[in-house]
Amino acid sequence: MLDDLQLIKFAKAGKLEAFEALIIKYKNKVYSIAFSFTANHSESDDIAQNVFFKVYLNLNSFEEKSAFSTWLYRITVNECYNGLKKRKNNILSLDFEINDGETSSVKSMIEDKNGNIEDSMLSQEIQLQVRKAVLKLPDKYRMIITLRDIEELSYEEIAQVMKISNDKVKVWLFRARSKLKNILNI
Amino acid sequence: MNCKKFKINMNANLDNSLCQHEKELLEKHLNHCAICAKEYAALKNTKMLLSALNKEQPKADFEKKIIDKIKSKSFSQNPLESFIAAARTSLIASVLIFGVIATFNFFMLSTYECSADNVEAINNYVLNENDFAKHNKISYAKIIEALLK
Repeated sequence: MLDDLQLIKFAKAGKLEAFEALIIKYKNKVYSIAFSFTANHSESDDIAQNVFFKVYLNLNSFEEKSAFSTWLYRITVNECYNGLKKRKNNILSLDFEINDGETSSVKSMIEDKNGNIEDSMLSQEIQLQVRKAVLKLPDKYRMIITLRDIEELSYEEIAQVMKISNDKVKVWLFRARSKLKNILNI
Repeated sequence: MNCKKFKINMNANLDNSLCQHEKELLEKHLNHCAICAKEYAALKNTKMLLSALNKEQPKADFEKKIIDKIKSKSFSQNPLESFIAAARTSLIASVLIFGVIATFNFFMLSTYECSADNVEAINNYVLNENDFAKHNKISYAKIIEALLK
């Protein structure tokens, strides 16, 4: 099986099959980052499509100094922020409305499990409450939580993708989790 | 170590980024500080909730849509197509330039042939033949004779 750099080499030479293989490999991750940030399927689809289209158009500018995935996630983060600007300029089009005082189900679920939710399958209702809580975070905290706690990127990768220092990653993560904990009231 | 310092380490411990010594200090503190222990449990649960979220996936035709978009973009930038367009433009330009030059020559030559200057040019030609004879040391009569043959 070809690795990323080999696929990029073929894609640069005009082999669309190689680029398609890259899309198949990374589409879920890119889409998932976009969805965690926007909580909207239509918008996530637009963002993810734009990401791969831009990647294709700019393949020649990829200098292979970092991993392809880091470069790809960086474009994804930028595209999420660009989508956010457009959304703020137009209308708020989330897949669900955000209402206050809806986190009681999360708190009671945690209490039911005696404070230990490790390895728990979350119900649709709990998923929805958590997604709504994430949406209430400031953009940079929402992004860092998405990259670390939902997509499980390393501190180093997050620092490269968000163009911030490792120390800032730690501080922002601490603040983001604390805020989210307060929003979820747990 | 105070509680504030432990709060930052609590977060780092969730990501397994503490060294063994720091980890032991944190665990010792959590065993003695109920407030920090509660805070740590809440942070841990927050992280667990996020990790347990469903990973949303794109629709089945996702890559096809992108490849189609790339193909349509590539078609408009096809090198062969660009070459044909450039060749067509060059051909049209060449025909136009040739037409302009041919038209210009047609009218200018017609004017030249009809003008009085042309008659004078013929006389000059005869005179030049005379000069030619002198230069080549042959008689003018011989040249006329050769021309009449």
